[in-house]
Amino acid sequence: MEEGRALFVQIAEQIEDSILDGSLGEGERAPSTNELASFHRINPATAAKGINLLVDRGILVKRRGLGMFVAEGAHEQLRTSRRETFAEQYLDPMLAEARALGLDMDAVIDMVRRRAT
Amino acid sequence: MAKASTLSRTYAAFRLQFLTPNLVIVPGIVFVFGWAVALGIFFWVDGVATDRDPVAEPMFAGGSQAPLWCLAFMAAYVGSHTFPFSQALSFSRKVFLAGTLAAFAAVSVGFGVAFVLAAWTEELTNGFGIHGYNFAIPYLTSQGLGVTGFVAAAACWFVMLLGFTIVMLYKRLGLTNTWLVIIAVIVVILAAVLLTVTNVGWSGLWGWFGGLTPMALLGWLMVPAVVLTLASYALIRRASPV
Amino acid sequence: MGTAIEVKNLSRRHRSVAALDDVTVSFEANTIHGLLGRNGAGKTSLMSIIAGQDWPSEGEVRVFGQRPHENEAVLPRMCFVREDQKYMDDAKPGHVFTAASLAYPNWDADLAQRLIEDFHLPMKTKINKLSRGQRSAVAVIIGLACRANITFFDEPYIGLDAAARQLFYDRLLEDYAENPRTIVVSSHLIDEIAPLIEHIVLLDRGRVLVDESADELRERAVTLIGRWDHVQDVIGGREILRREELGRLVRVTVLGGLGADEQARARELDLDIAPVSLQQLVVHLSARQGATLETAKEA
Repeated sequence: MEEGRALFVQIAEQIEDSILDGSLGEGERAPSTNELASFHRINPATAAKGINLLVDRGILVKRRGLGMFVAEGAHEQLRTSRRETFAEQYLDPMLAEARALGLDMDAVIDMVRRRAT
Repeated sequence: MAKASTLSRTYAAFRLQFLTPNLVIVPGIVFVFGWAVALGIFFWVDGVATDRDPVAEPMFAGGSQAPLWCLAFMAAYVGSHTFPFSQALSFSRKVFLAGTLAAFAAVSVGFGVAFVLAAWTEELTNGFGIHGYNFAIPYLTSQGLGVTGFVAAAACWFVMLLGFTIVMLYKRLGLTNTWLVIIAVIVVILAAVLLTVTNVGWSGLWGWFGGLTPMALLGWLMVPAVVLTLASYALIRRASPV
Repeated sequence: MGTAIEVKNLSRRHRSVAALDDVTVSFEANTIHGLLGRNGAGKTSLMSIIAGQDWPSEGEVRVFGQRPHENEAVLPRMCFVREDQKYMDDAKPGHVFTAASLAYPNWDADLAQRLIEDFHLPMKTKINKLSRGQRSAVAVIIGLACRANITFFDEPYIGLDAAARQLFYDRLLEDYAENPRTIVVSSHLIDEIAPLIEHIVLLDRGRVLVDESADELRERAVTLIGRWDHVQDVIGGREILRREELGRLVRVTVLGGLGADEQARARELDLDIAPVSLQQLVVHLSARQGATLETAKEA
């Protein structure tokens, strides 16, 4: 856990990451509050808050008596929302750095293309 | 959750005082050693003083007092080391005091019984054959061993409370004020003695003392004991730890 | 969940010195609270009064709705482990644990035994011969195994090495997960206890400086690094907690998180945004003179 950001948000993000990279599939059981708490050595209430954040957004669903499960369509939903913030989160800082270095846009685009292949 | 009854908590405070050897084993050792040392002296005197007639000149010593002073000290120690909130415990002052005083009472009863047994042994063996007595003091046994036991127990209760109350005084008021209070009490007692002496003379006072039966002494011992009990509660009621 | 402890307008004066000055704060039940502040801020005074040990000069304390002082309905449900907890000189750890098992109705002997093994506590040594860390272990064991509804740990880690401290935090979390209860930890090692605590009360010179959830507090401050004019542009009227300069570069920690627009603007201006840990934030807030966080919120 990194300090300076709400822990429950970080917990939610880590579960999202697992869903996005496929290590946590749709319909699978998500880690429980206590599992998360003891793994990250955090307060169970904080872990619960992180899970609830995902329940509110429909990423996780609660099955009574069984625990939390990854919702159908969660993967797609996360991809969509992460795509929306991709430019802001990753491209903006890159472009700012490029400008500071005096790189011209075509050169940057070229670099991206070369790296991608 | 489990509920704590006041009774079980008072018992816990009572037991607290017997977890360490302070109130039983240490005074017990002093009891035996004090007696043994006094007996040793008796036998030594008996060996040296060959012209002594044991029956006509019995020997008496105060070996029976040693455990009393030890217990006074231990009671003071208990007061300073087992406050209601010591060892991270959480007793109300009332419950703590009730448990502690019950522990003192139990020790006093124990002392009374031990005293009677010792006095009985001395009587039975004629002072171990040489008429040396520490417990079977004629005055104390004049109304029977039962009364002896009660007087011993009351004396024990009194000295323990004295030690305990002085520490409570110290906890509540600090060192200087404690001394002031002790000096004030001594002054009051001296003034009372002086007043009595001017009225009835020394012989009157000593006559009164000499005339006290053990039973009456027992009654008079209860007065300061009760005063000290009330004082210790009044002191602990608003005292703070540390 | 409800409130476990309610403190209203509490003051405690030792002669003319105010240890606590008009403190009003409440502690929610079944929550781990961090009670923070510099030495002499009033943490121990506050815990001592709530635990019914010390007496308030003014104000009120309610524990589970009742006055704690001399109240046997409440006192057995509370355990306050002092930083320099006193024990009987000649007692061994076993004596102290027996005393606690008698006094606390929820005492868990199995847990105590497990912790004794975890901490490698020598049971045959008298307590006054134990090292500082071993005495802290005794205190930690009492505080955990008593399972009191409300437990106060006053700087429980003194003398414990990093591994033993982590052991304490782990066991605390484990047992808390199984047996939720109200725990108040006072500590200077804020980074260490930060993941444990949900709610923070920060005291400063006897007054409440912060009373809010740990996660909210984490987002209350931000550090920006860059050119001063650019930083000024982004922070606007926010209160500056700390400002350091290195040539034309400044590092400024301000109160009040950045909104999405402001974050974008900061990136445009090539400012580095760094999070502020609870430890840093508490240090900054404690160092600040006068103002409370309430006045800062309005700014």
